[in-house]
Amino acid sequence: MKIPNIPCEEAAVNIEKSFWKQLNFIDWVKTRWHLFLCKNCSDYEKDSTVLHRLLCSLKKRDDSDNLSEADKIRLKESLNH
Amino acid sequence: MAQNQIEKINSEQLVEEHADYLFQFAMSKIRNRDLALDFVQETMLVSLEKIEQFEGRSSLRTWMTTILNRKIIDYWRKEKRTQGTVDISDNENSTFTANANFIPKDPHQLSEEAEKRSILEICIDKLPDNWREIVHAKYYDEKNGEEISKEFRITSSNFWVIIHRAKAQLRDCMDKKYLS
Repeated sequence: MKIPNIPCEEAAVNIEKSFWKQLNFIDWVKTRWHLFLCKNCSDYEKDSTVLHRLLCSLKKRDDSDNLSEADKIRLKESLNH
Repeated sequence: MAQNQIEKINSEQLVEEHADYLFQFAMSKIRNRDLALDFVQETMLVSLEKIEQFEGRSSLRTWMTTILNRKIIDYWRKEKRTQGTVDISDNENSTFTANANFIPKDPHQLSEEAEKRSILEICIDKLPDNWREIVHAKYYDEKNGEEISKEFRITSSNFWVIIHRAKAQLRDCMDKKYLS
């Protein structure tokens, strides 16, 4: 059986999808085959995995982590003295 | 730093433009509002005093974040020396002191993570508007692809292409060392 080599962008898109959902078997095989053949995409997958983890850690921050207006006024006063 | 940039910076502006970010950065490392606020205040005072030393090789925010980060690391070190720690946390990277201040077991490990996140946020700001909003919707607001596609009136396949291209740009923007 001959596995077609998909274009790099298709492989990259499949990599992104795979972070969020399971690829169907055919797409998974095509992507793994492409990654076996293409070092650039293989490197992209590694970096993209790190980026994905970092991006997930940037989730919406809690409102309690915001400064109140009173805090800001006090801060301005302290800097002006 | 260029003279015209120094003249533009005043305490009011520093607070309005950077205080929230610095405070959130401090809070992500020390779950103590008062302490985080003290660190932000000290960082801003030092920034104003040493503004002449700012060479403009990074953004002002990054420079101030570095100052803040050093202060927090110094604090952790001092706390570890003086108080000892009581391991009461489920988080394997952290411990709490008796007065419940958050202390990472390895300050450098967490500060590197925070540094990576700071750089990443700067890189996200540099993305084209549409891409940035889509990345925000996906990662910050945790919306699914279908919702985002509807909101931005794009096809599902277009959505994934944008996510890939945005991440490729983020990858180029971030130094290789931050992705290892």
